[in-house]
Parts: sequence; structure tokens; C-alpha cells
Amino acid sequence: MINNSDSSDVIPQLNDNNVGNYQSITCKYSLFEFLLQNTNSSFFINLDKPASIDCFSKINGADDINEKLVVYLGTNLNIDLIVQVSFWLILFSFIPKHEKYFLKNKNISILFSLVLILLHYISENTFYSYNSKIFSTNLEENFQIYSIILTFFIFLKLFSQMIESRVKNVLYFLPFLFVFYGSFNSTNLNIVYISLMFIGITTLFKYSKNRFVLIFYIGAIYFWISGIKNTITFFDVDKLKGFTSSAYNSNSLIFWSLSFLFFVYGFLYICEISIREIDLFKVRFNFLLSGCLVFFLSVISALNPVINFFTYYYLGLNKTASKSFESVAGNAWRGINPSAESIGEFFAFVILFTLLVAIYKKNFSLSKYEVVLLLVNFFGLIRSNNFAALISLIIFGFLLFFLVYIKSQKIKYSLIFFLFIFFPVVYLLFFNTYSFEESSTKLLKESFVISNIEELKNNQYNQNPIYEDRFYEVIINEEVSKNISTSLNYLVNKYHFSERNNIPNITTLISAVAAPINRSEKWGIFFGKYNPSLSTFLFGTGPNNIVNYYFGHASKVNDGLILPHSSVLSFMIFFGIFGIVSFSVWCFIKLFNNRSNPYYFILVFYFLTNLIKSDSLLYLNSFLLFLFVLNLNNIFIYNEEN
Amino acid sequence: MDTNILTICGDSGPMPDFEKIKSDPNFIFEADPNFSPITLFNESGTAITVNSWLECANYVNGGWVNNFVKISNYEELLFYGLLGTSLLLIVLNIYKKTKEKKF
Repeated sequence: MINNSDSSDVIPQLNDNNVGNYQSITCKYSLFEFLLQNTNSSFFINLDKPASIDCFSKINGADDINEKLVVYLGTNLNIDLIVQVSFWLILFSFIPKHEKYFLKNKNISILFSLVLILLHYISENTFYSYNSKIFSTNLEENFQIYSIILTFFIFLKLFSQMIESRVKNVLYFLPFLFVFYGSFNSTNLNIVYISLMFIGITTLFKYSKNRFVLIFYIGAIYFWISGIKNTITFFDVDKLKGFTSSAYNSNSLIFWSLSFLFFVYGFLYICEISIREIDLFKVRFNFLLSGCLVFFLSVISALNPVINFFTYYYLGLNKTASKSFESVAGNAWRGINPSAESIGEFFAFVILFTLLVAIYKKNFSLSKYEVVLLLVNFFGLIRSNNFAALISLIIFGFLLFFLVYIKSQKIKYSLIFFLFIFFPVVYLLFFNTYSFEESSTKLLKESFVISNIEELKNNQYNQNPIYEDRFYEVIINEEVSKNISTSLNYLVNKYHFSERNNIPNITTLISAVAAPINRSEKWGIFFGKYNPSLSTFLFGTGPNNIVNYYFGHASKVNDGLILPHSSVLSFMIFFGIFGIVSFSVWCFIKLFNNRSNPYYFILVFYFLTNLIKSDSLLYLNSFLLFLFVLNLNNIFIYNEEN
Repeated sequence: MDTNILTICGDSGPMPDFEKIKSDPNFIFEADPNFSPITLFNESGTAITVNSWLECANYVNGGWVNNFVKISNYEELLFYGLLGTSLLLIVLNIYKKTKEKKF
């Protein structure tokens, strides 16, 4: 805005006839000067991310694309960092203060954080080469990379001072992570991630158990690195920006693995020191307010291209907000969020949480503001069109009511049994369009569709073995077997050679679950691409890195970001079956220990149910919300009075 | 006249019609023996040498400049600015700690 031209000339008003002029006067007029002349023009703003410092915030050309005028706005790697960090630090300063809570060894933690950040820039150099024309990993006279490190140094120095007097109030502002995402424009990092990583590093000096886990974890990192067969230099992170790697090499694995552990440590530490003192009414209000802000900002971003740019830049969105009110693929509207599915889960969570707090506190009165906010959240849920979140909200709402208010054990469990039978039966009867036979093979068919197998011979009716469910014939075909992923190979073997004992085999089970919840295609793509060796199946390829999954095995789906659409499958890529089983056991123990606490039970199960069919844990804010929910047994303490 | 053209290429009468030049694919810039060749750079550092005032004005109008070092200097200036800020923060921190120890 402020990087104005020195020229006394005025930028012409943009129209179809002078797009050429805009192409010849690049890097001269600022966005502010452009907007002054174009208050009534119709245009979109696209970012020219690799612009030089001089061209930051200046108009760098225009185009007529599909009869829509697009102007390019220069942004710069270094200046983006400074502007966005400054803005978010100002916002952070608004968190109320309390007495100081000293963090240990801050300076060493800052130094360690900076080393990790430097490693990140070196490891993802292709991503940064796309975002800066002068990016280089040669450290000799590299003012750009030193400036980046100094920016992070200044940020961490200021943040470390600010957090000590605010750390106990941070959790109140967790809901606002759905408004302020905190992803940098041209850096594959997130301010919240870096902040929690820093706090996590300080906990190493406080807790010996954290150091102990780190030692084992370093062993796991060594394992993940030794599993690299081919390095992959670039993966388009798209809507996962700031929370996933754009490269697959040893340095990127070291950065994302270590930083992920520290990030989790950091958040758990904040929960540990502050969650017990939390005022539930305040948190509830903040959840309602943030849900409402999400919806409001989504609407105004769709109305105006300039606001669309500003919300993207200053909220730190992973991708620009929806530019219209039209739904994605005809069924869901994501607004400012990268995923309609995850924000649908958030809206439903806010409504469920509101209900839960009311029941827990035995206080059903909401202020008129809260009623309005609740209605907006409900409308947001409808617009996101997350049917699963809506149904789970209804089921878990009823379940909570039964668990808390019905004293007779017999009636209570009868109702719960009815609830768990009623909804699936209604769904299968009225919404499911597949027969059991069809649904048990649909997943395999979808997997074969995206596999690189062109050599199959059709019969006289123009049908190939896949069409006739002769999958085993496909995988033993020498010409095509090398193009079949190991996971698909395993599923086909299980499908053909399992005992016929009226118990569905694993392939039929996954496929039959996937079909009615509309996941056959997505999970089919996953198994078509997921090609682990035994060791990577057991222990994964490292956290926040789906690059090897995406490009490690050639398939027909190699461009555009098609995610597994199940957080369970995503985390299986990261930590393997060992990680999934370990987490399930830990979760089971935690739930078992809180078995008489219906509030905790409901919230955790609400999340677990939705995570099976959504990618939410790949988004930083949803991941933190899940960690928060797992810690809620410290707030919702159930006893007879409650 | 555009100030950049005046500064880089010098003054040479009325401003030509750049759009006309750009839209004519057969337009050839003729070298002017009285014009001292100037090397111009674009944003990514690509260099060209122009041999006439008209050619120079055309390129400068398209965003080319005569001093690429000037572009790199922004990075250097930013670095020193950030270095100064970092040192100031460290000094302030030390001062604060010393003050706290005293009282």
C-alpha cells in the first residue's frame, strides 16, 4: 500500500483496451494508487510472489483471462515475512497479560529454532526458487537468507518476551486460529507452528520425559531418512501450506520431524499449565465468535477482490478465499477456509460444545449475542454442506442427553443401542445406492482406475478383468503388476484368498464402509497410490510429509492435490501402522480412564468419527483443536453433581 | 516525459508512441552512431545493450533499468536494517537484565 511510485503520472483505469499498457508499466504504481483509479472497475488480484523488494505491493502487470481482468500484485519473500510477522505480533499483544511465567533457556531455544528454520529453507529450495527469483542456498554473501533468519530471530526474541506474560491465556484464543490461519504468503511455514515449536524446544530443558522421547524419536528420524530411495525436490503444497513439506529429502525430514515433535510438545505444555483454569463460558463465547467471524469474513471476501486479497494476506490463509458464493463441485462452500469439510466439522463442533457447556454448567441461558452467533454457526455448517458433521452432531447431541439425563441404566443403554442402529439403518435404507456386492468391490475398481495399467485386454463384450471383478488376474499379469501399488496388491490378495466364513475380509470391510460415506473414489485413489515397503508400512515416512506417497509410485493422479480424505490414512503415511495402533491404544486407555465422563467421551468420539473420513488433521488449526479436545478431560471433570 | 527515460536515456524531443512500436512485429531499432550504448537490466538481472535513444526509451518504458546493483542493494539494505534491529534488541535485553539484577 505504502510503496508508492515517485512519478506524478497517474495509472490509467483498467479496462479491456489498456491491458497492454499495464504489461509495459510493471513495478511502478502501488496497489493503493491502482485502487484510487479503479474504484469502479471489475478485476481480480493475483499475486506475483517472486517480485523483488522494490516491486513489493506494486502492480506488476495485468491480463485478460477468460474475459476477466486480472492484475498482478508484487509480493516478496523477505518483506512478506516482516509485514506478516509484525501484524501477527501486534494481534498477539492483545492477549491479556498475567503474572510472568518464565520459560527456561529461551536464548538457546531461539538459536535451535533458527538452525531448524535455516535447515527448512535449504531443504525446500525448489519451493523457494519458485517464490523468489534470487533465492539461493549458497550462504556466501546471501543477504536474502540472512535477512530471513534475522527476521525470525527478531520475531522469536519479541515473542519469547510476550508469551511469558500471556501463556496461560493463549488457549482462550485457540478458536481464532480458524480465522487467523497464520500461514506466510511466500514461505512454507506457519507463525503458530514456529511459535509452538519454539515453546516446545524450551520444554526440553524443563521435562526429562520430553528429552527421553526425543532420543527415541531421533532413532525414528534416522529410520525415516534411511528409507529415502529417491529424493523429490518439489511438491505443490497448495492448501496445506505451512504444515506440510514441499520436498522429500533428508534435510526436510529432519526439519519436519523435529519441528512437529516440538510443536506438539509446545501445545501440550500450554494445555498442561493452563487448561484447568479455563473459564468454559469464555471459551464457548470465543468459539461462537470465531465461527461467526469465519462466516462474515468469507462473505465479504467473496464480495470484493481487494478484501479477498487482504483477508488472504493478513489472516494468513493457506489459499485465497472463495471468490464467489458458488459451491465447490456443486455441493460445498469453503469461504476463507482451505477445506469445506474441515470448517464444517468446526461449525458442528462449536454447536456441540455450546450444548455441552450448557449441560455441564446446568445453565441453558444464552445472551442474545450468543444466540445470533450460534445461528450464524449453524448457517455456516449448512453452507459447508458437511453432511457427516451434521449427522454426527445430531447423534452425539442425543447421546450426550441420554448419558447425562437418563438415570435408568436399562433405558439409557436401550436408547443408545437404538441410536446406533437407527441412524445407520435409515442411512443405508434411504441414502445408500449400492448393493453389498457392489460396495465390496467398488474401492478396488477405483484403485485400478488410477493405476497405470493400459495393457489389459478386453473380451468380446469390451469388458476387461476389472469390470468382471477378476482382480487377481490383473495383479498376476506380469506387464501390469509392476504398476500396481503394494497396498492394492495386498487388498486384492485378501479379497481373493480370505476364508469364506461369513466374516468380511479386510478389503470388503474397508470398501463396504467407504461406499455409503462416499469415500470409494478417494480411498481408492489412496490405495492406488500408497506403495509402502514393509518397513514404511510399519513405521511410515515421517510426519507432515506426503511427498513420497504422492510421487513415489507413478499413477494417473499426479497433479492437483488429491488427499486421502481420511486423517487415519494420512497419519498412516506419516507414522505407519505402528503409529496408528500406538495412538489407538493410547486413546483407548485415555477413554477407558474417563469412561464415566460423558462430556469427554462425546467430544473425543465426535472428532474420531469425523477424522475417519476427513483430512482435517492435515490442517494446523484442526490438528490443534483435536489435541485440545484430547486434553478436555482436565476441564470436564465428571462427578455425580455434574 | 517519463522521469526514468529522461534519467537513463537522456532528453531527445517528444515521446514516441510505444504502443505502435510494440504492436509492430517488424519494427527494427536502428543503431544511432551518436548514441553512447547503454546496458539495461530487467528485474531478474538479464542485461541488454541499447544503441539508440528510441530503443533505450522503449525498454525503460517496459520496466528495464540501468543499474542492476541497485536492485540487489535492497537485499543488502534490508539485511543491515534487520541486523541493527537485532543488535538493538540484544542490547536492550542485556540492559533490562542488568537493571533487574541491580534491584
